[in-house]
Order: sequence, then structure tokens, then C-alpha cells
Amino acid sequence: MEKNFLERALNVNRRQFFSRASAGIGSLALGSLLIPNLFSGRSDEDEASMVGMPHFAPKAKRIIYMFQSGAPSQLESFDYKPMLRTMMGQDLPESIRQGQRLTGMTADQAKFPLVGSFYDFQQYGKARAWVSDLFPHTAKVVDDICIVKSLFTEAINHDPAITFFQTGAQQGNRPSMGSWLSYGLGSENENLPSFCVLVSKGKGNGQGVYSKLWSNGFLDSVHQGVQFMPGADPVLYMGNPAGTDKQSRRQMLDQLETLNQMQYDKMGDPEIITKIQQYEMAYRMQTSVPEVTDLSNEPDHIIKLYGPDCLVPGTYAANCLLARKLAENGVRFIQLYHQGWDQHGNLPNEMAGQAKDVDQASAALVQDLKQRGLLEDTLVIWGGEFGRTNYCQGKLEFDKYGRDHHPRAFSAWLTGGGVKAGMVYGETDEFGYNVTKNPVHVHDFHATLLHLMGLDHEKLTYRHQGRRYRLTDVAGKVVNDLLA
Amino acid sequence: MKLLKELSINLIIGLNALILFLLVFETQIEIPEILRVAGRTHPLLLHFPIVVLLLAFVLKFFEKYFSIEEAAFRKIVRFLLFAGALTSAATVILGLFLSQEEGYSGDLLQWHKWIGVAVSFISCGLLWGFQENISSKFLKTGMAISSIAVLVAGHFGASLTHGEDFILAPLSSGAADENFVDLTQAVVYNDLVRPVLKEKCYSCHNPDKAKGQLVMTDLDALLKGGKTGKLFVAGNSDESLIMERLLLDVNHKHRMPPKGKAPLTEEETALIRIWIDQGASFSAKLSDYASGDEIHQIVKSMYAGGPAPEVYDFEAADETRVNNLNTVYRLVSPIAYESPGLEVTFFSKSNFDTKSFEEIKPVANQIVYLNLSGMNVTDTEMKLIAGFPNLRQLNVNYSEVTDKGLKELSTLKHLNSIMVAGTKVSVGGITSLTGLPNLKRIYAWNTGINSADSKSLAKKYPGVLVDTGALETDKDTLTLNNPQFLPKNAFFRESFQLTIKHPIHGVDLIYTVGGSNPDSVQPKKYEKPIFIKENTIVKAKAEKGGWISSKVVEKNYQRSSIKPDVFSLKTTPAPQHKGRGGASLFDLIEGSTDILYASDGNWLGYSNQDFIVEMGFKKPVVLKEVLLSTLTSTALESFPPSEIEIWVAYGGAPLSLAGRIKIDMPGEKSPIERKIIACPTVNNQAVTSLKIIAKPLSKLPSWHKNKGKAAWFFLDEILIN
Repeated sequence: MEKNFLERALNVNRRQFFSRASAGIGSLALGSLLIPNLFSGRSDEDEASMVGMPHFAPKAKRIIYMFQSGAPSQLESFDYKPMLRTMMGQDLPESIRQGQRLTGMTADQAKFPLVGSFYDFQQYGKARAWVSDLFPHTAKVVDDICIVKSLFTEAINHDPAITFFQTGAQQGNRPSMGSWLSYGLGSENENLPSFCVLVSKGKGNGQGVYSKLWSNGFLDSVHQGVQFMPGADPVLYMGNPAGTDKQSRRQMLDQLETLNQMQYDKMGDPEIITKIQQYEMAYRMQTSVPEVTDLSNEPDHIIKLYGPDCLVPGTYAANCLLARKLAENGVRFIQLYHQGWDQHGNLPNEMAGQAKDVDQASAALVQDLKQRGLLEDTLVIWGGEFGRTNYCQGKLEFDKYGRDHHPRAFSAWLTGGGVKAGMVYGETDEFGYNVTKNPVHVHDFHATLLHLMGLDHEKLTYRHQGRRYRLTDVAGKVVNDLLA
Repeated sequence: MKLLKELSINLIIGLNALILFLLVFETQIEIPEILRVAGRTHPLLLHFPIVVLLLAFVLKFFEKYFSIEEAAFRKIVRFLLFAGALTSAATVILGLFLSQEEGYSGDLLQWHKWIGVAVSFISCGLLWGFQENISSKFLKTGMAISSIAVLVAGHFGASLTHGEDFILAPLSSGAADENFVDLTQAVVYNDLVRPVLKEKCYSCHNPDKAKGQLVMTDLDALLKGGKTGKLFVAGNSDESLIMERLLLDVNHKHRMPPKGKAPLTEEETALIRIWIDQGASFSAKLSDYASGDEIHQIVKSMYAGGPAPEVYDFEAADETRVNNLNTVYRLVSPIAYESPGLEVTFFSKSNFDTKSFEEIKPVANQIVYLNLSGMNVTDTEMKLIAGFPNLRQLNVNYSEVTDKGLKELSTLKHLNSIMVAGTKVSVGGITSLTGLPNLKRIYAWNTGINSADSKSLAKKYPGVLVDTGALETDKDTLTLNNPQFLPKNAFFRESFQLTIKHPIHGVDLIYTVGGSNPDSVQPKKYEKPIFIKENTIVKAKAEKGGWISSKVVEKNYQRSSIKPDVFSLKTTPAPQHKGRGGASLFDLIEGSTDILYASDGNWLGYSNQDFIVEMGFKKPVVLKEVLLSTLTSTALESFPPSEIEIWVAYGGAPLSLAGRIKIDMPGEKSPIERKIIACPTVNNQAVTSLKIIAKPLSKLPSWHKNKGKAAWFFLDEILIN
């Protein structure tokens, strides 16, 4: 009885509560109209729903990044500084250096003797861009490219600097740029990895290029870069093991998928689904990769365009040609590395060799993409991780000098996919040491690349360990001047 | 209570008298500091008359509804009217004090002031009328008038504080005129700088409220400046007052806009700085500035990047339907988030057929980008493509497209670029495309069109770019790269098959065996692997029509038929040139002669120390020859050893010296090369142990730039036959 009474009392109260509360809930609802994303999910979930496609109409659908590992000297390539020749041997003024920290390699030098380029420069194209004699083929395509002379970075040593360029952070463990694009835009061609890596090695002093540079970091492992090796087996572990034919492979994969699916139903770990997809993709790649890496059908004039080395597997020229084929086949991000640009000594000699390795093929790639119409939506980038000092490292000899690392100003060029062609952007002082106009930070560079790919760099985020991460960390501005 | 009432009446009368006084002598009054503080409470106090007077009106209006005892009701209304008259009079006085501060003038202030005064007087009148029991009708009308007056005065007051279009600003600022500045025509001051001033400065610096006696709304006043002086010095932003104020710390009392008001963004500040530095012109256009100028960058980031993306006027296709069209060989995807346009790409020629193409017909209306590069696209598909009315870009590179197929495309009014590289199309087909109204670019490299055709097409259709590509490189003659020898090793045991390879197809590989130059003798074309069983020099070069022949590459193949069963280095090589120890000497792998690779791991290097190695053979061997493969490079300071000794033994006998020779040194101009040096002969003796001692040159020759220093001795292999 008592229980009934209590229940009744509670019921009355509940009824009253709901009838009274209706107006309150109504006004809550009214108020909620002012919060756009209240019921459509948190704002980062909203951003998550944008993952897999551009945020806005993109100018570029894919990127070929010809990374010159080791940092080519801007002073022997695109940043013409005649004054360094006239001031040869004189000490770098402190008013220019402004306390810039130096690497352990030159920090102890008593003097910082300025040294001019061993190589001459000429002006080319509509923009009258200065290009050194080391890059005659690039000079021919200046009307198609945009030379940026005002890049700057924060790191002064190779590994942090290259990691910064590749991942937006110096410390490593973040996803590589290619992984971010794969994550943000999804795959175009399901038969090839959306992020491919090609490494070549010049004879100059080289620096390490490790797989951490194409790591997916905290992103799903499907976004990891896949390295293509020269030779008969371009992608490791992709072929069938000895004694296994295509049919038994297929059966094995089907059985494996059943097992994986069972495990997924039980555990719900999305990495299991990734694994199933990866196996399937690897299976399809058994056909698609040999197709794309087969360069035997390239006509003679294409081979001449890239230079005869383009058929020697593992060379930079071969990688450029392969990059074009991968771009044609819908690979989102094709990362090339050419090692050997770290000229601390014997620069004129070594750099000539490096330039010879890359000049013709780099220019050829631009031309080849252009004539196929692919430059309309392919973004091509050429550059290293920082620049080199305007003063000599070690003994100063006019034909044998060396240059140390310099983060404050260096050059790169880009073209295609929405980039303003035939332009030289940014300026440095007459010492080539500081940027005097239109500086472009690495974060700005990333923001601009993402913008060209149709992605808002502030919205391309991934939640990890309690906070959202971006390629551009908490900085970066789109350099609108570079946009066509 | 009575006392309080009396006091209030007196206060009201007194305050209103003060109002009259202040109004009459407005121009001559000076307000002491303490009253200025009081004046600044005007914006606080003003809320009381508004609420109290409105409340009195509302109560009176709903009098019947309350069914309160009449006497009590009268008391309430009277109380409110008292309060209303008192607070409105006080508010007016404080307002008059405040208006004496600098920065308040203009029509808006006059309206606000006189209506405010009217409110105070009307509320006095109402109080009087209520006491005198005038008719309810009059009372209600009077109360309505006072209510309206108090609202109007309030509105004018708010406009003074927040700016005239404060209330409607959220509606008008989103309107077309401000957000869509045509940057090609924009006048820097009027279209770019003025909107910033309007948004961030006008509310305090206008004719009605000229803080610091500064009015920015018209050009003359802007140039005149304010109390502190001129606002800017044309051409010099560093000297300009406005920049100083904009850049002060946010807590500084002179900082503009003051703390609590929206500050200028970085871009807006930069824009004003550039405008001043460039002479503060009121007529200069954005297009007058050089294209690389910083201002373009700033303006672009303020007014979103580049031209606005194309907005499509068609409906989006059903999302599920779009998703279902995706296979591993066909990508159908919106070009961007929430865009109705679709991009469609096909992959894998062997998985492409007309049927798979027809499946995308349901979304024909939405396809904007179509990529069929390398697919088996025939005229049948081209007919279907003609039914994609919104197509912008079509890629049919390396397909089976013909001129006839291109003619089908005449319906594609929006098409702006087409790629037909590597197809059989000719001038006829391309000409049929030029009629398309939006077509801008045709990529027709590697087709039936040559650059002459493209030039004449460019003349005829100036708006259309026909790119026929870089076939001109055919004219350049390039040097073929060198042939490659396989296996790569220069040393062999008994015999081997030599393969000569070249990466480029269709080259002729010409070779000789025995040292004569391939140019000089009857060419021997390489067809099948060459069998080599003794020391042989092979020379080869590559030839192909349209190319310059490669350099002659040569390789000296050296036999090393005997490998010792045991060996040990008695002296250790220099740490930077230690190779793989003794194993490097019997692995048949030669070291590179490229000086950059002197430490490639195949050379053992000795300096200031003799090279000593001992070898043992299980079965006695008869030594015909013992050779050292060494490196000569003056640049690397690498020379042959000055002296070589050979020691031999048979069975358990101790080693005995079998021979010693001195070696001639190379001259100053000698090339970098791998040199085979013969050790002293051993007279065909059967031996079971062998020891070699090689002494590096102790001093570099006098012609060397580092003369006197100890030379290096590098070796990569010991050859025993």
C-alpha cells in the first residue's frame, strides 16, 4: 500500500515534471537553433565527414614532389647574387647574420668568408628569371614554372629539416604530407597506393632518406607511402611466393578474409578492415604495378626528353618518367628523393654532377605533363630542405669552396595545378642571406599546397591523443600570390 | 512617508529646474571632474526611466485585468510615476553632463537630447495629472506618448554609442556590395581601406560622435585629423599617428580601437600601412600596384583567394547512386564537399568496355571531369559523351578516338579543355572542336597534328590553345648511355658468359675482344653472350639511328683460378679503408675507380704500414703468376707499393723469401686507374703457403703537392693462377 502510494506520488511528480518541462525544453530547442552544430554532431565530426574529398573545388588532383635531399645551394641555382663575387673572401657582416645559429660544422670557424657562385647566371623567360648555367633544361621551362626564392625554415640540420618539410613537425612521428593527402582526399585509383615513393642517389655527399619520412604517423596505415624499388620486383613482398600460382593466392586471400572478417565482427578494430583491403589491393597490384612500371613502350622522343638514363632503373631520370606514369594512373602523391646535395666542400664539382643528374629529367617531366594536359591538375614541386650559406665552409678556393646549412632563405620551384606560371616570387637581400620580401614559411608552403588540392589546412585535422593535429600544426597561411 | 513624498516632489521640481538651467546655459558650462564621473553613469541610469515608465504604462493599460483594490492600484501607479519622473530627470541631467565631454555633437545628439528632455517633462506632467485626477483617457494617452518618447530617445542614444546602423548591420554587412569587391577595378581607398575604417572606426569618429575631435567619415575631415594632430603623413607610415595608435599595446589608453572594441586584423593594419606608404592616394587603383607587390597578397587573403570557384547550376545526383557506381576500376566522386559536380575516372584498359561506360549514364548530367586516358574509347563512347551536358574537362589521351568521334562533341557547351594526346586525330577533328563556345585548351601532342598546324590553328582561333608538345627534341641528338657488362665483376675463376646490355630498345651493341677499338675493326654485333675463359679486354659501344653513339666502354677481365683455402691479414688496413678485411681480396669484386667511391668497401688501404697477407692451400698448387690489383690516383695519394716480396713454403716448412721486386712509380699526369701489378715469379714451384709483403711508398714524389707525406696503397684483389 505504502509502495503504491509512493509510486503514485512519483507518477504525479513525473507527469508534472514533464508537463512543466515542455516549455523549458521548447525554449532549449529554440536556443539550440543558435548553435549550428549542436545536434549535427561536434564540429570535428563535421570535419570528419569531409574526409575523403576536397573541401572545395581543387586546382590540383595530385602532387609530384621532386625532393632534392641534402639541400641544393640556392646561390648556384636560382638566387643570383653577383655581390658575393665582388665581396669574395670578406667576412659576413654581423648586421646580416643577426645572430643566426650555426651548425656544429661552421660554428667554430673564425671567419665567414663570403663566396660567390662559381657558375654564371643568365636570365630566361617572360619573367626574366635568373637561372644558373648548371640548369640549362630548367631554364628552358621557366615560363611554365614559378620560382620561389623566399622559403625559410626553422631547422638547421638535415633530419629535422627534411622531417619538417615532409610532416610539418621536426620531431618525427607525424604523418607525412602524402599520408595527409591520402587521408584527406582518398584514393583515386584503388589498384595502386595513393602515396608512392621513389628514391635515387647522386654521387654528391648524401644524407639519409628513411621510411619514417613517408610514414602514416597516427593516421590509418592505409595512408602509408609505398616505396617503389628499381628492378624486377618494384614493390617488396608483392609477388607470389615461389610455388604459389594466382589461383591458389586468390583462394588463400578469400579464406584469410573470412577469418579476418570473423575477427573484425568480434573485436571491431578498424585496422582489421584496413588489413583486408591491403591484401586485396596488393593482389590487384600484382597486375597494376608491372603495367605502370613497364617503360618499354615509351617512344624514343620521350626517352630523349628525359635523357637516356631514364631507362636505367633507379636513376632520377627513370623515377621522373615513372612519376609521370603513376600520375597518369591516378596516384595522389608521388614523392621522389634524390640524394647527394649536401655540398659542405668541393661544391662546384659535386653540384655540377647533381645538377646533371636532375636538370634534364625535372624539366622533361614538366614538359611531358604539359603536352598531355596533365599539368592542368598535377602540382609539381622541386626543392630541398633548406638552403646553403653565402660564406665558405672550410678552406676558400674559388673552384673548391663548400657551403654550410642555411635555413633563412632558399629557393624551390613549383608548377602546374593552379600555380601561377612564369613568376619569380620573393626576394632576398644582396647577400642572399635574409628574405626581404614575401617570406614563405614551411607551414605557409604546406597550407598553399593543401589549398591547391582543395583542402583547408585548418580543417584537415585528425584527433589523436586528446587533441586535433594538422599538417600545418597551429600556423600557416595560404600564399595567395602563388595561385593562378 | 508623507515626508518622503514631499521630498520627492521637491526633488523632481528642482531637477527639472536644473535641466532648464543647463539647457539655457549649455555653451557656458564647465563640468568639474567629479560631475564628469557622474555624467558617465548616464548609460547606466537611463535604463531606469525606460523600465519604470513602460511598466507604469503597461499596468495602467491592463488595469482591469489585475482586479486589485482601487486604492492600492493607485498607490502602485503613483509610485511608478514618481519614480519615472525622478529617474528621467536625473538621467537627463547626467546626460547633459556627458554631452559636455568632447566628441559629442551633431544632429543625432540634438534629437536624443530634446526627446530626452521631453520625456522628463512629460513624466512630470503625468505625475501632476495623476494627482489632479484627470480622466483615465488622457492619462493613458500621455503615458503612451511618454513610452514612445522614451524608446525613441533610447534608440538615438544607442546610435550615438554604437554607430548609426548598429542594429541593421548584421543584415547589411553580408550583402553583396562589401564582400564582392571586383579587385580588377578596385580603388584602394574607396573599396579596400574605407570599408575597414567604416567597420572599425566610424562608430566613434563621425560627425555625431567625434571622439578626439576626429571625424573619419568624409575626406576633408579625415585629412584634417583630430585633437592630437594629423592622422597620417602621406608616404610615411612610421610617422603617421594612425599607425602609432593601431600598433600600441591593447592595454594602452591611447590604443585604437580601444580595448573591448573589435581590433583591426593583421591584414587590415598592413593594408592601411601600405596605403599610407604609397602616398595615401584616394584615387589609386589596386591594379596600379606591381603584380608582385605585398598589397595583392593582403587583399587576396582578405577577399578570399583568386577568382570564385565556378558554381554549378544543376542538381546533385543521388548520393547512394553515386557511391554505388564506384568500383575498383571506376572512380565516381563529387569534385568537392557538397558540390553537385562529379569527376569520373576509369582505370585499367582490360576492365573497360562500352557496358561499363554506359553504367554512368544515370549521372550524365552531373559529370564535370571525365578521364578516360588510355582506355579503349571509340566513337561509340564519344556519342555517349556528347550527352554529358555539363562536361568541363575530357581526357581521352591514348585512346582510340578519331576525328569522327570529336565531331560528336559539338553539344558540349561548357567544355573548356580536352586532352587527345597520342591518338589518331588530325587537324580536321581539332577544327571541329574550335566551334565550342568555352573551349580554351586542346592538348594534341603526339597526334596527326604538327606544330605548323598548331600555329595556323592558333591564328585562326586566337582564344584556343592547341598544345602539340615537345616533339622538337627529335632534332636534338643525344648521346646514348653506355652499354653495361654483366656480370659486373672484372675477375673470374675458370670461365664465364659475358652479357652486354643496354637499357634503350633497338640499339646495336658493337664490341671487340682483344683490345682493338670497335670503331677501327669490322663491327661485331652483339647477339648472344660471349664465352670468356682467359684474360680478355672487351670493348663495346652502343649505336642507334637518331642518336650519337655511346662512349666505348672497356673492361679488362682477369682470371684468378686459385683461391686460397685459408688466408689471414697480418697487418690491419686503415680504419676508413678496411673493406671486408681479407675476404675483399678473394671475392672477385673490383673496387671502383671513381674517386668519390674510394671507400666503397672493396679497397683495402695502407699507409705508413706494410701490407702483409698469408695464404694456405690444402692441396699444393703450382703458382704460374700472382698479381695484385691496385689503385693509382695521384689525387687520392694512392700509389703502387714501392716493393713487393713473396715468401713461399711447402708442407710444414718455414716460409722462405722467393722473390722481391721494386715497382716503377707512375708520373705526374698518370690517370686514375686500376692497375694489375705482377709479383715476383715463383718458378712454377708447388707450394702450400704463400705470403705477400707490399710496402707502400713512404714519401710522395717531389712533384706531388703533398710531397714528403706517406703515400697510400690500395688493393682490391689478389689474383693467383
